[in-house]
Order: sequence, then C-alpha cells, then structure tokens
Amino acid sequence: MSMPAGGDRSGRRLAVTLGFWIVPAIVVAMATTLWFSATTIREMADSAYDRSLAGAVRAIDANISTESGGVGVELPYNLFAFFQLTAQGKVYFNVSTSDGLVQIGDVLLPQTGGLASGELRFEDGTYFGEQIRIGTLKRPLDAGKPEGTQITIQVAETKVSRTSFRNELILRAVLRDLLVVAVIAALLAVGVFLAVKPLNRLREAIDAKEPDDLTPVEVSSLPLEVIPLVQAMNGLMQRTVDQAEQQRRFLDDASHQLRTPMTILRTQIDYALHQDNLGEIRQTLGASRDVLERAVRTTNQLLALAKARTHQGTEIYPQTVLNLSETAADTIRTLWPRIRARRMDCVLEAPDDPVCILANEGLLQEAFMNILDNAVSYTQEGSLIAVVIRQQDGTAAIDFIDEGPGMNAEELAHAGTRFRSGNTKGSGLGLAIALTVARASGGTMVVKNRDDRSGLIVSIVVPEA
Amino acid sequence: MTFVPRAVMTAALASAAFWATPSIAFAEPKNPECVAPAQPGGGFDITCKLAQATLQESGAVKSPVRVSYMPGGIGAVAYNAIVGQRRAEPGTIVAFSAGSLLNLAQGKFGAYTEKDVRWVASVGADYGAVVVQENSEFTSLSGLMEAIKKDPTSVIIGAGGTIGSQDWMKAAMAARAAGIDYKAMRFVAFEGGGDCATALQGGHVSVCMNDVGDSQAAIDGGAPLKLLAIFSEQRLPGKLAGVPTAAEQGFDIKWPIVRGFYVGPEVSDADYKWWSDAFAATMKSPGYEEALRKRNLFPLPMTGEETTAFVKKQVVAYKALAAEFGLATK
Repeated sequence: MSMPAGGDRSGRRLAVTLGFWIVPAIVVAMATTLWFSATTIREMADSAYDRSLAGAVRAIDANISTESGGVGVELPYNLFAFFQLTAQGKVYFNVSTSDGLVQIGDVLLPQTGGLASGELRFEDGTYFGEQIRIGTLKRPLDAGKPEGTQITIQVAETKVSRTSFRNELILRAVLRDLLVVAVIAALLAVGVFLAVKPLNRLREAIDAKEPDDLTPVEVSSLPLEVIPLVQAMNGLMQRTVDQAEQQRRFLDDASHQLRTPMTILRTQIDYALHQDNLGEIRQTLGASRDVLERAVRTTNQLLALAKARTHQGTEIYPQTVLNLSETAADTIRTLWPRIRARRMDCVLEAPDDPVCILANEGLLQEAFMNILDNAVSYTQEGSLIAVVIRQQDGTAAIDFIDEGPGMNAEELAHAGTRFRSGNTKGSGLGLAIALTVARASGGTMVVKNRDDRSGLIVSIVVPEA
Repeated sequence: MTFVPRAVMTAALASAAFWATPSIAFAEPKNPECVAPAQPGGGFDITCKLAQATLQESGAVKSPVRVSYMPGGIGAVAYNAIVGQRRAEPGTIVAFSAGSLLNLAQGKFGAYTEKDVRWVASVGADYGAVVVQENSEFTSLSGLMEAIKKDPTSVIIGAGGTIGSQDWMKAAMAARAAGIDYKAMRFVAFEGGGDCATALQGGHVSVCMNDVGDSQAAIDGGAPLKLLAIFSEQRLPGKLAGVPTAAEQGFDIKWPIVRGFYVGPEVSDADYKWWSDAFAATMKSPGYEEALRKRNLFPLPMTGEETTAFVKKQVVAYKALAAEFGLATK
C-alpha cells in the first residue's frame, strides 16, 4: 500500500489514506460515466423526438402537389394537432421554394443553410424567444428535374417536452450513479473496517501482554501484508531478549568472577590481621597480591571486551589500515619475556608483501595478546608457538598454533564464549575478546585442534584492506 | 390609402356611362379557362367563379369557362407559368388582385414585372377584413391589437402570402397604427385566404387577415367565423353593415382590393379585345350587380387599356408603400 505523495503522512489513519485514493477515483469514474450517459441520453432523446419531427416533415412533403402546375400544400393539421398533443409543445412549419415564389407557414423560422438536395437535417434554433428543434428537408420540386427549383420543408417544435424528458432521464442517471457511489462507499467502509480489524486485534493482543512478556506475537491469523512486519517486530524483540539475556549472564559472570578473588582477599586480610608474626603477614600479603593481580587482569579484560563491543568499536575506536605482521611482531615482542620465562619459542611466518586489514590497533593487539597469552599459559614448558599469516580469496588470516593439549569437543563448541575457560586459571575472556575484535573488522575467529599432533589453532580471519 | 377607392369609383361611373353598346366582333377562343392561382376557397377562386357564372349568364361566352387552380406564392407560380410557358394561350385568363400587384411591386413574382402580361379587366372590388373564430376571445380590432401589444407571440396572425404580401401589409399597418413593432408579430403564411380560413377554424391561427369576399363567402357557407373589422372607407351595405370599419375602431387604414384578370403576353390583340369586350358586356348585364352582391363584392368595372393604366399606377403606389415598411422593391 503506497502512501500519497507529499504531506505529513505520520499518524494518518489507514482508512483515510484508502479514502484519499479510492473516493476521488470513484468520483472521477462516476463523473465520466455520467457524462457519457448524459451525452447518450441527449442523443437518444434527440433521435427519438427527431423521428417524429421527420414524420411531420414527410407528411407535409407527401401533401405537396404540383399536378396543376402550381405548388399546392395540403397542410396536415390533424397530424399537427396529434403531434402537438404528444409533443406537449407548439409545432411550426414552413414550406418555401428556392425561386422565392412560394412561402407558406411560419416564414420567420430560422433557415437551415447548406442543405444538399434530398437531405433531411435537424437543428436547434430560436423562434420568438423559444428554444426549438427544426427538421428541414430539401428536395427538387419536380422529381424529374433534380437541378431545378428546390422546395424546402421545415417542421419545428418547441423543446420543452424534449428537454424535460431528457432532464428526467439525466436526473435518473445521476440518482442511479449517486446511489452506486453511496453503495460502493458503504461497502468500502465495511471492507476497510474488516481489513483493519486484524490490526486492532494485534494491538489489543500486544497491549494485553505483561510488560516483561517478550514472547513472539502470533502471526497466523494476520493479513499477509502485515505478517512480515510483525515477524520483523518479533525478530527485534527476540534480539532484545537475547541481548538482555547476554547482559544478565555477563553481569552474573562478571560478579561471580570478581566475587571469588574478593572473598579470598577478605579471608587473607582477616588471617593477616590476626597474625603477630611479621613474616606470616608478609607471606599472606604476598598471596593476596597474586589474587589481586588476577582480579586486575580479569577487570582489564572485561573492560577490553566492553570496549570492543561498543558500537562494534568503530566510532569511539577508529579503525586504520594495519599491517598484520607488524602488529603480530609487536605482540610477540611484548610477550617475549613471558615466553622466554617458560623456555618456549615463538616463530612468525608472513608473506613478503604486507598483509593489511582495517582494524583498531589497540583492540587488535589486545586480541592477539589474549590468544598468544593463552597459548603460552596452557601449554607445557619448552613447546613451540607458531604465528602464521596467510592470504586467501581476499581475506587475511593469522593462525596462532601451539603444541598444547588442545580442546575437547565441548570446549571447542563454546570457544569464544565469555567465562568458558577450559580450566580454573583463566577467566575465559581472552577468546571472547578476540572474537569480538574479529567481528568488529568484519571477520570471525576459528578455533580447532591440530591435525598433525596435539595442539590448538586459533585463527582470526578478516577481509583484506 | 384613400386614393384607390376614389379612382375606382370614378372609373366605375365612367364605364357605366360610356360603354353602352358592347360589340363582340371576334371569334370566341376555344376551351376558355380561368386560372385561380391559389387553393380553392379564396379570393381568386371567387373571382374566377364570378367570371364563370356571369360570362355564361350574359351570353358573352358560349362554351362554359373551366376554373382551374394553380397554387403557389399567391399567384406567383401562375404568373411565372403564363409569362414563361403559356405565353400565347388565347383561352386562358388568370385572376389577379391587389395582392398580386403588391407582390409584383416587390419583385415577388420572380424576374417579371407588371409589363409582362396583358391586363384584361377589373371585375369588382373587395376590401381587406380581419377574421376570427365566431367564439373568439377577440371582439374588436382594438382588443386584438391590445393582445398583440401585450404579448406578440400569443397571437398567431394568419394570412395569405408571406411577409410583404397584402395580407401581411394589412396586419403590419394595423400593428404600426397600434404602436406595435410589426416585425415582432407571429406570422403564418398560407397559400391564400381559403387555407387561412381553414386553419382559423381548426384553431391553428388566432386571426386571418383576409378579404371580405372570401371571408363572408365562408361565413355564408356556414363556417363559424366572424369579421372584426373591414378596411373600407365606410361601412359596407347589406349584411356587412354590422361590421365596423377599422377607422371606426381607431385604425385609419383602408385596403380596397381590385379583382380582375390578365392574359399571356403573346395573346393576340384580337383575342385580348375579345376578352375585354366580353367583360365589358357582362358587367353591364342586368344580373351582374346581383352576382357581385352575392359574392360580397363591389362594382369596379374597367377593361382593356384602362385596366393596364390602373395597374401601372397601383404598382407605383405599392412600391412606395413597400419601401415604407422596409420591404425590398424593384
């Protein structure tokens, strides 16, 4: 249903819009039919009345005698009287010859010019202020001499009867058409009401819902045109439900993650407060410091995740074109002391040409850092980590390949989901951050076990810039 | 319009005094025919019937005169036929009236003038009359004019002949005298007074501007008509004495009508003289006056050259009158 062009369309009733288009269409259609009807009626009335005029003309014609050599016209008064009675008006006649010798009847009747010999023509005219219809016949006076003297016979009648007859017919046509318009309008009104009714039902159904009831609206009973709209609304509501659920879980998990270290800290502080032995206190505070460091790291990761999710990061954290191998090398350099502390090694394999993607540098480093840190943390000392950058079909990929134990099926399925760490040491935020960053650059993250040996491959795949 | 009757009366006296001995010296034309150039029942018919009856009665013709009708344009068609195709028929006389002369004066008789035929005789005088139905709402000429003045379209004026004809002229003169625009009159033309009288009886017209002769003949024949006015100098005698003149009713209009005959232009002098003499003799015969009276006509005897001179004088006078009413003349 297209809306009328221009104007403020908001808040207009659907019925009004329908009326706006349909009523003028009906009026125009009706006006057109009416005009045609009126024209037809006029022609038909004229044709019917003209036929009786023609009869009168022929009657006079038949009564013209030229036997004696003169021009004798026997006027059919009986016919006129009858004619006048039926026509309910006045009848005039005129007979004249082209040589001007004979002129009989209402000599002032308007002449019909340009008649061909033998032609009978009808015309409107005025006679003593009255509208009249004139039938004129012109023919040769002597049938044997078609080019000779012509005789013209005119019969005219006042148009009162004809006009009132015609107006009566036109009035009926108008009334009929008005009735049709009224019926159509009524049917339309009913139709529109019935068509809009499901929408009202829909509104009532939505109004009747509890404020926290976000279950989808039933669409089976709705008009076809409305179903996609309601489905879209249902989808929107579903996303809202999902989002709310995610946020609730995030909050739950975050609280849980932070409460554990807090509880440990309070226990340790309580223990330390009851100690007199300075060494004992120092040892306890040292343990507390470890706990606190873990808590700080978790908090930082939560913040990073929140940052990465903010409007996909693009507005507040502008994206620039980055060389993947440079960013990866930076990350490796940053984590190098940790890698070396575990006596591990890390190699970076990249194509000669720079592989560039569009991303926020800080967030990308954060993502790499988390993946690499996981690889360092969850593998045995002395193992090797390979970072491989490759290009395929317009995308750039970076694989972090370790020699650790890998993940079981359930862990793989939930990789990237927050707080789903395979062990108790990690928060599970690392891969979630990496996934979010990859999505912010229009890419994704793939986690799988190595085929050749035990180990995990975490790949970030994003479109090349 | 007083000059016509004066001339008529002078002529009447003169002819009565000097044509004492008619001599019919030439042979009678074969198959004598009187053409009434209209439908039966009008003034031309009466003129021909008068000739038919009196010529026989007086013994001027031996074989009976046949009356034939050639309607069309109040004599126009017949005039054209006589001047065009039947130029030399010795036995054919055609009736004419003042109306014929008025039409001639306006060129309504086609290309021909009054010089194109030979005028034989004037056999009587008639007067214009206003005729209505016997039970008409109109009782006087002034009442009629009042009604026309109030609503010109309400009164249908019937007349023999179209606009410019003598009947129209009578109506126009009356209208002018009443202060009515004569062009606004609703006017219906007929092929002679007879047709108009028929239409009047049928109620198709309100009034006929006819002549005394044909109207009174119709009334005498039982037609339910009455005369509202006669366009004569004085009241007419006899049964017409009860009809007021137009002048009496405030309309100073006189319309005497000469009635007579003409023959074709190539009719020989001998035949022309024969007809002229025959009429002269007949008009002096004892029964002629009674024949006129019976037909509500009045004496206006003229024959031969006297008739021709009279016709020429009348045509000149009618041209002036037609011009006065804005009609075309030639």
